[in-house]
Amino acid sequence: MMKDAVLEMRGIHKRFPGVYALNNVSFAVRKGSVHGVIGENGAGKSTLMRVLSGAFLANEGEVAIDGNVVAAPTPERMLELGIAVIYQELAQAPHLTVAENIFLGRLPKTRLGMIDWRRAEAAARDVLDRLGFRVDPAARIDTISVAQRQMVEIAKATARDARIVVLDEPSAVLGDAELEHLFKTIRQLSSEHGVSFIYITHRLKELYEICDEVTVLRDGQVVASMPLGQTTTPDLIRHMVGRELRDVFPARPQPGDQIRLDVRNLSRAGVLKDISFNVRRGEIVGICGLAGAGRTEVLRAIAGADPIDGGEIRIDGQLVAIDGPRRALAHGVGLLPEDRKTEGLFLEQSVAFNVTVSELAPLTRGGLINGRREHEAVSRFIQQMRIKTPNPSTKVRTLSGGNQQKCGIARQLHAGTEILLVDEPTRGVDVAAKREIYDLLAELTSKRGASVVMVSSELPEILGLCNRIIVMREGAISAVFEGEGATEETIMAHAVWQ
Amino acid sequence: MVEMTTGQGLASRPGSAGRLRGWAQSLGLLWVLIVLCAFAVYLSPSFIQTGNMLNVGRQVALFGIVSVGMTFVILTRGIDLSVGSIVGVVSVATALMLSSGVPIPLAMIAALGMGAVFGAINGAGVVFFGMPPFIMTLGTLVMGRGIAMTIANGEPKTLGDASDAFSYLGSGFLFGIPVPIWIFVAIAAAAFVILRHTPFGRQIYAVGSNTEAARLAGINVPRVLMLVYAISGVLSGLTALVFVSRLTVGEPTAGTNLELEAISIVVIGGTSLFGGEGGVIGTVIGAAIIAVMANILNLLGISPFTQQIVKGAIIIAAVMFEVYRHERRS
Ligand SMILES: Nc1ncnc2c1ncn2[C@@H]1O[C@H](COP(=O)(O)OP(=O)(O)OP(=O)(O)O)[C@@H](O)[C@H]1O
Ligand SMILES: [Mg+2]
Repeated sequence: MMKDAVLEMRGIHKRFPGVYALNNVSFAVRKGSVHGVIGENGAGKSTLMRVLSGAFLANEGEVAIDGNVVAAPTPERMLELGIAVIYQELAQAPHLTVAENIFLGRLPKTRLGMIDWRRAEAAARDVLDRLGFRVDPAARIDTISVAQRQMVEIAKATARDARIVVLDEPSAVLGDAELEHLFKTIRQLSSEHGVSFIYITHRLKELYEICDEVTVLRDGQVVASMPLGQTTTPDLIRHMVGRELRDVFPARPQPGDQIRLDVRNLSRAGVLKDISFNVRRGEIVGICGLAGAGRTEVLRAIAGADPIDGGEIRIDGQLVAIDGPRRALAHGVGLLPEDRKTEGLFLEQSVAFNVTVSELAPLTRGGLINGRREHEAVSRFIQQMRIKTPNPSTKVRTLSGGNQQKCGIARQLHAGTEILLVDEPTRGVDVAAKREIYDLLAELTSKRGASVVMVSSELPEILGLCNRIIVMREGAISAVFEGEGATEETIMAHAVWQ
Repeated sequence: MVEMTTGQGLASRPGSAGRLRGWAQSLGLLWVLIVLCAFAVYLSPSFIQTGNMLNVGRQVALFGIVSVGMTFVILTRGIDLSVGSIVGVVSVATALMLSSGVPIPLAMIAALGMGAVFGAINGAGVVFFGMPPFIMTLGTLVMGRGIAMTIANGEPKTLGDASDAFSYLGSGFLFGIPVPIWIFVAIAAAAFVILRHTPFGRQIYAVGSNTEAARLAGINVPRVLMLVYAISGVLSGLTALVFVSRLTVGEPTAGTNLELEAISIVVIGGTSLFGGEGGVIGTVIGAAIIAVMANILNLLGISPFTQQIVKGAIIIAAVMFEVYRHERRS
């Protein structure tokens, strides 16, 4: 047994129909330490944390807190013992305020037994201030950004005096500045208050910034667990993937001369100002900028998801009036939305349903969908993109986060869109799959002559993949670079106000 | 969590876990139905006499036809409270047409058309004016009954000379089985194929599971919703035809409370009020369960008033179970 272990999980097994999600997983976290957990999509990271929080009952194995085995690990019991899990897929009450969410179920009451809003908001502001988060306690959850929601969850954990806080891929939703802030908070809480953290991520760089130890999961098993000082990035990748990975981007596509998509003076009051750019055949154009700079809105405007106030969109030189996503798709313009859960996927439906829903015509004969054809088409994507799922008829909800994302991309590929607008395509996707997505985008452009516009918060992938890079700031384009030769510094300089 | 662990026994082979669960649910319902039937036989052997069985079958058919339409609507996360009123209006209108000499085929087409128009009005309110389906169809529920009463002057309308010729639809037999049952079987089969095997069916599920994602995926959401309400309207019109034919009068009160029957049938059949889950097999079994249950209550000699209490309790229980299932998942 590990000395000063605040948490020990021993011999955990968790099986789902057709999936052995956790196979004899043992792992321990020291008091006041930050413990990284990494692994490919579907390796079992989130499942392990759900066992820890009591949301899933393990088939075998035990959880010990401070050396005492928890007899009945229900969610209530685990909460009581000071375990707070901030899930990858945030589960918050959208119509409640920030303060209500932070004190959910424990709101301060007045003497008459009514909820004391003034006190609740003051207390919430107190917690948020202490953490340095700028969020309005009175704001409703559905009016704040995903990053702010993450902060609310962290504040909620702190308000509960949690001793072990699990963060499931926070960097998938937080911007750089916010992440920096989160790290500061983590360091402070762990060193001064002895709070332990479990930190799940797909970005290995973050491990070295924040973690003391790391545990690597692969196919539901622990393949390595050690202090971070004793390992290197290539080692970690080898543990995760089980093989070596070349760590280069695919060759940049060689765009043709023909202009495919031409956007002129696109504007939308208060959101977009005079956006003009073009994308050639076989070209990948990246859009970067800080959160809220209008990147997502550009894609949504072109894809017909939001109405525009002014501007023109030309496709192959033809002026087109895109009045909705359906029209956009008819012109070969497809959008991979930023939030897969609310805008992208049909969680209660199968993988096959999700992949084929935009384009059923090729699978339909005499008005009826041919099940065998569909199965074949979807199986091909499952194989090619390594979507980890028992089979095509599995519900998407039960897939791991990264594999859900792949289903969304597969839908675009199946629909055969020629102008692909992808919003954070690798969010929550593991290193190996990321590379597969890069290869895929490169192949689409160079072999099929598709054009890609990619929004990403990960500068390295924008720099490594794009022919041209557009930087946005406050709803307008602030700079355009050739992909080759651009650097993070020059881009950041144009993304923020000088 | 319970769901997870119980699921395991079902899928010994890594296979279509989702579909298995769907089948398991239908199977569970089928068991409920079988147990109910056994209980009915135990109460009174006359339950399985042909006469009684055919009566139960007719009942299943009458409620079942509207319930199929209701299934379409509920799958899109909507609701149609106006079905009973549409039955009332179309009943009266059909009687008036027939008694004034309109040829039967023409009157039937007109009746179905009226149902479609009513449905389309519901759909238009939901799609173009953003009305919540509950409110929109509550409005047409009240209006429809008012229209039926107005054009009928508050009295049942007879069919005149067409009466005998028209009674085949509701009272006739084909190969020894009542015609309404055949109609229901045909409608249910068609609905099954549409929902399971056509692009339109997929779109219905897509809209019901996530409307915004459906829009972004290029689905014509307004069209899907319009069609779904229109289908519900047409099937209400069809039900009216069967009603009128069977009673040989057009009652302005025909179909009163039918919406409640239909909704409870759909929910008992396992279609989620939250949209995107369920299907027509469940609805068929649900209709049978409701009909057998009513038959049992009759056999037990329970008064119609008490029956209403029992029925209401069953609806609440079914919806509670459904809400519980939904909550536990998220
Ligand atoms: N409720 C569930 N029912 C069935 N299978 C499930 C369920 N939850 C998770 N799984 C399966 O268990 C495996 C592990 O999933 P998990 O979510 O733990 O992966 P992860 O390591 O968090 O991946 P990611 O990096 O993509 O988030 C996956 O194959 C997933 O499909
Ligand atoms: Mg996960």
